[in-house]
Amino acid sequence: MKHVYLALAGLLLAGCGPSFQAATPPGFVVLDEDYDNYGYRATSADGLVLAVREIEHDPKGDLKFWVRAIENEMRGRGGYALLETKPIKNAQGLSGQQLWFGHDEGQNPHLYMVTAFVTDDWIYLLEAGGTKEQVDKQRQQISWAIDNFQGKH
Amino acid sequence: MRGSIEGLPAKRRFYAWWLGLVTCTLALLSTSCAAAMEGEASAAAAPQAAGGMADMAPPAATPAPGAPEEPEAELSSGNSLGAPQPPPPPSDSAAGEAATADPSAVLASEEKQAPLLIYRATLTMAVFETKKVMDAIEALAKAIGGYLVARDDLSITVRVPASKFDGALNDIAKQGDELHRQVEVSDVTAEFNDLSIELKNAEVVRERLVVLLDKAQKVEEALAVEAELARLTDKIERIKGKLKLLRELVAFSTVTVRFEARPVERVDSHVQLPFPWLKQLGLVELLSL
Repeated sequence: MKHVYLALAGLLLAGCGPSFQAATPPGFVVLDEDYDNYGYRATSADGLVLAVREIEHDPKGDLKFWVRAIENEMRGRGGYALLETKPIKNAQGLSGQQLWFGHDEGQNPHLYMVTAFVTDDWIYLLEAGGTKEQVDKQRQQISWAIDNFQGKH
Repeated sequence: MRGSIEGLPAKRRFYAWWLGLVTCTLALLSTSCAAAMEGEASAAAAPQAAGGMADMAPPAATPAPGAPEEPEAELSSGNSLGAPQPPPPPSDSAAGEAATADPSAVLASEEKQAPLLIYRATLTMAVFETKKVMDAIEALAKAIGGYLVARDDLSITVRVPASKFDGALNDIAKQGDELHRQVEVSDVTAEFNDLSIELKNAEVVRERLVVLLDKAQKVEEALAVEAELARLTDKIERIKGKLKLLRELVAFSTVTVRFEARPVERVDSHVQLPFPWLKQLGLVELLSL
């Protein structure tokens, strides 16, 4: 009986927590998540921020649909230039699409990255952003965080 | 004449009418003969289109195809009925010169001439590192023989050789994130030809005015001619300027790139999907720690 209670408690806890496990690269600090919109956020000392959103996959759409929706939203909003889009597959075997946008803040260029993984139940959006200089410096950390991200298939 | 006839007795008045009628008949006969001789000459040059009614028609009015046309003045000179002759073309008229300056040659040259087209393209790009992108566009234009026309913080205009327009446009589009493209083509062939003719005529008139200026006897005459010369010279220079501009616009296509920080409302504005999280994407929220 005790084992049953423990199993139920474990299931409840699992149900309350996020459906993913983010990987925090060295040199980043995880922020307390009091934010509604992010399931995870971490920042470097220089202000490069990594984040994960988990969105319930309802209504259903394929990866192509969601990527196109993101692309249209960012470009249509103005101020974001689509620089690159490429397919990506991480260590867990999640397949997705990565989009890089450029954004000028005055004379200061910034980069914003969104990687979308779409599973049956969830849409995971992994984001990274900061000044172009910072992003260029820490591309390896960003790639590592994406590669080691674990979502629920 | 009428009054002098009415003053005569009835018998003499009859002779006078008779004499008039004979004179008119002789005049008509001589005219018909002259016309008939001209008609025979035409017929010798080319076969008649049809007999019967065609034979009855005035030969001069239906010149055979291919036969050289008789000058209208010569036809009129043979008209003894005293029909009003057409006024001679003004000797110093530029329009007259143009009209007699072999119009068939002008038409032929127009037919042979390739259309003169001006290409203009406007690309709208998303804003990112505008200076770097504009530098690249400027360098690209110069590399293919083009040049910079204008540049400010959010736009750049270059001209590229028309023959390289398509390639240049695609290469320029690759320098950034292209949001919108508009290409316009204007055909200026007619405008160019009109201006060319206008220029030619104005130059002919100016040459004549120079001759007139040399012959002027009085100061007033010389002043008047000089004033007209100045006006005409100004006109010629303006036409030359327009022609030069047209030639340049045809030879070099214009490409303008605008960087759009905020979207301009268009009919095909982007779709608004009902997923609130899409609106939350971006650096503003991500970087709000």
